[in-house]
Amino acid sequence: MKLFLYIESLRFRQLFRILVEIGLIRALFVLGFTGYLLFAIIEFFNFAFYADLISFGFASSVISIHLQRKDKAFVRKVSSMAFFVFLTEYLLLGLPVYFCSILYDSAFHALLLLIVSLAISLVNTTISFRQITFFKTLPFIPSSNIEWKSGFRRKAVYIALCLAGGLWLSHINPAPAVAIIIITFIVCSFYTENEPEIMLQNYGYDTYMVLLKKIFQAVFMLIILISPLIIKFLYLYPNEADIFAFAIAVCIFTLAFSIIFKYAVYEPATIVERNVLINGFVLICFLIPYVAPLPIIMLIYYTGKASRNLKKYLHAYN
Amino acid sequence: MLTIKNLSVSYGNQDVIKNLDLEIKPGECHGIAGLNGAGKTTLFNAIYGSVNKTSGEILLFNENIGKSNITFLETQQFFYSRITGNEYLKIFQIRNKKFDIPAWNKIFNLPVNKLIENYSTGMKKKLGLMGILSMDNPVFLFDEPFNGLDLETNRIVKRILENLAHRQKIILISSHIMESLTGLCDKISYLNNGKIEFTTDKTGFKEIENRIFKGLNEEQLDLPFSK
Repeated sequence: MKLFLYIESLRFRQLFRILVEIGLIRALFVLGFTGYLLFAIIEFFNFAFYADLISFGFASSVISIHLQRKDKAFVRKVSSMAFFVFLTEYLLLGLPVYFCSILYDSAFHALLLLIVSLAISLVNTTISFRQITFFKTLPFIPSSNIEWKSGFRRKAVYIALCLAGGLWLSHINPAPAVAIIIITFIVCSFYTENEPEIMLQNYGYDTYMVLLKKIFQAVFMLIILISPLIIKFLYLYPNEADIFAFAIAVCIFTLAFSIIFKYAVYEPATIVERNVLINGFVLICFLIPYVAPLPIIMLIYYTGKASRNLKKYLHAYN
Repeated sequence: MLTIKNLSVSYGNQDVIKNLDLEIKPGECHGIAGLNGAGKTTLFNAIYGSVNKTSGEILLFNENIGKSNITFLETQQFFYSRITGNEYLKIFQIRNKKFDIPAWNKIFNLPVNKLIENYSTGMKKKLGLMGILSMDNPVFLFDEPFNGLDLETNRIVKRILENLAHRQKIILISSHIMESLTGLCDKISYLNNGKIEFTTDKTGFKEIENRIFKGLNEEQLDLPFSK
């Protein structure tokens, strides 16, 4: 208990240091402003109506904080009660939601957030996903699809959150469409790392066939991944299927473009982060009238470029 | 037969390989010795096609050589992040369905179910080697294959290279450890300043170090430690 209190006192000292750095007046202003904004948002959006959205936002934040925080190893090392340390902190963070749940008589959301806090506090304290064979081997991804194997290990939690959010909030009309767009954007980021030449050569020596194989694999996996969202949307909004089909088509196009662009600028064993920006640009183009044809022109241009670039690495040189 | 005729490679104004000629027969293991910066890696990259040649020809059985004919183990190994050794090796099964990963791993004994970023340098080298052994190309290029390997794996690699030579593959290997070349190669060429100064077969291996280091006199070995 003494150790637990000591760790929490460390947190307050850390917080105090941050506030001192900001400056006392500014800190008070920031804290007051944040608190006011939080309650204003809850009031404005009518907690009872948007309870799902707000609770999901909080739950996602808690999961994200736990997975990103760098002090897990330290807390585990110094305390045998690491689980309780994390749980207490997440309960404190979720206080506004618990408070609103009581206020608006919505015990379900409070219970849900409590379960999420409990479950996430167990991760890397008593449970490690990396030790579970299923997560270790990712058997649902074909072994030839290294981008997905690697990407899934890095971004699985965010994809799971988007899927869960899209399904849970599907009664708010655009939620499933927004979820598939975000998932597509995450999946496109799998294609920022360039494999070594020797790995690429295993896909064959015909440049267009290599590109086609890669695109087919990725699109197939994306459709499987978002299929729960497609089914739920079609079930809830059968009259808006055409709009949803357009959103899916845009996502497939963006994914295909990200693969083409990767190989248009491919250099073995490098990481090209700018691919993410280009993918974002392509997605945005589809939302702006008159600019939509631009990604199609870009796709045609970069397909030729990708083929020419891959020839350097796959074809006879001399 | 791998034939290199009059090969030259330049980086900007700097000539790295100068009018190099070399012939290697099938089943022959040919060593390339040379000091740092002699042009060994550039020669390998030129054969593989990773760098553009300024002039000359590289022929395999009198036809232009292509990447599909060559297996190249580079000095430094690069792998895809966040994949396991097993997943890396399975990529090679796309092309060679008969590539038996468990059988090869009995020899190399790697923790193939662990992520590659947790491997040591030697383990990464072994993994890279295992991958290229799935490729049944006529030409094998090994750039410093013994770097970072333990004694046991050194022996295994020598055995593999002997086996490849026995299967009539053309093998070109570089190393800065002379013993590993003399114990393995049929011929050794000494590369200096982008030119092959001499090539010798097994009868001349005893003299090879004397020939290489004849220019290195005792004055050069007078080390400037502070007294």
